[in-house]
Order: sequence, then structure tokens, then C-alpha cells
Amino acid sequence: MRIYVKFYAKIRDEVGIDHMFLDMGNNPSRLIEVIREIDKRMNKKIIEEYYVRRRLLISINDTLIDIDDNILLRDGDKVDIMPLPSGG
Amino acid sequence: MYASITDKLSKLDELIGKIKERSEEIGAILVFIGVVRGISPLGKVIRLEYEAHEKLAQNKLNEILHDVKKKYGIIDAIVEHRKGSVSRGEDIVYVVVASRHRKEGFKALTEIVERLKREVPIWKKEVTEHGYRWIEEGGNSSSKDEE
Repeated sequence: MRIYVKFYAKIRDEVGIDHMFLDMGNNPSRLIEVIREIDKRMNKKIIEEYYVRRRLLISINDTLIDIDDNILLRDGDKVDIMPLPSGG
Repeated sequence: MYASITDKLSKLDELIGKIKERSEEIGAILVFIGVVRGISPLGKVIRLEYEAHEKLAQNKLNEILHDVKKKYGIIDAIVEHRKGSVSRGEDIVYVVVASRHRKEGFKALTEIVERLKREVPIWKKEVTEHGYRWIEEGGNSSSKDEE
């Protein structure tokens, strides 16, 4: 299955790309598996670090989620990975 | 009530005029103006660069206004927030609240501003004469020399 992942602001700068398509073996895949796969693909441990410290926002198909390892992602889902807000 | 993420803010006196027309019950109008500070720990600020997840930001702002109206019984509220590049000294955000009495108006205004900063997916990069840094939640930052 294929997932579209988009990065924002500081996190985009750190990973060095705007977005990626992720081919996951299992359909569906757990959120934590997707997070680990992103880092694996880039050979950097960045996103899991943000994830473990809960220093990010995640939306799935344009809906903000309460982060949970066991949320299931399916083929065609869009995942936004964002830093915590700093507006105003 | 409305909220917008915009390239150009409305004129403040027009916003105040618009909200004042909403009801004859209005007895207080409170305004918050966020401004680009001219100095930071990195030195003289040139500009802030704002980025947003516009769909999520719009939805979250609408949710905040709805919650606050219900909680404090205010009459109306408006939020306008800039996106893109905002130079030092320029206005970033307007929050205007209209209420029957000042007390609930102050509470509502404070809650809108605090939740905007904490919950709405908008981010700012501070560009100074010595480099830039992404401002993080709570005012912390990560610095990088200008390239």
C-alpha cells in the first residue's frame, strides 16, 4: 500500500524534503510503523524522536489526530507531519 | 464570527466598525494586536516568515471561536492572521471580541490568543541580521546562521 507523507516548517527543513510516497508492506499499517519507516527511508532518526517526545502534530486526511501507535493507515492515506504551533 | 489566514490584514477600524454593527447589546470591544518585535536574542529582526496548514488552521480557529463564544457568552469575535513574510514593526494578527460587558470580553480575548498560539497549525521563522531560527512552542527556538 502507498501513503503520501508531507512535512511542514522546521521538520521539513530537518528532513530536507517536502513530501514522500511511502510503500508499506502491510495494508493497513500501524502509525508507529509508518513513523519508523519514514526515518528508515531517510536514514535519519528525526521523526521518531519528535514522535516519542510528542513534539509534533499529525493529521490523517486533513484531520488532526490524538497520537496513538495503533492508529491504522490505509492505502491512499495522506499524513501531515507538523511541528507544534508557534503562530501569533 | 470569522477567522482567516491572509496575505493582507483588514483595516482595524473597519473590523471594529463591522463588529460594532452586530448588536445593540454590545458594551465592550476588545482588541489584541500581535506585532513583529524588532529585536530577538539573535539580534535585529528583519522579518518573520509565517507558514500554515491552511485547512487545519482555519478549522481550528473556527472551533476556538465557537468554543469561546459558548463558554463566555460573547456576542462576536474576529481573528485575522497573516501568512507569508511580515516585516519588523508590522501587524501579524488581530483578535477582536465584542461582548456585553468587559469581564467576559477580557476572558474570551485571552483564551482565543492563548489557544491560537498553542493549538493552531501556524509556524514562524524569525529572520535576523545574523541568521534565522524557527520559533518553537513557548518561545524556544533552534538557530541557524544565515546561508
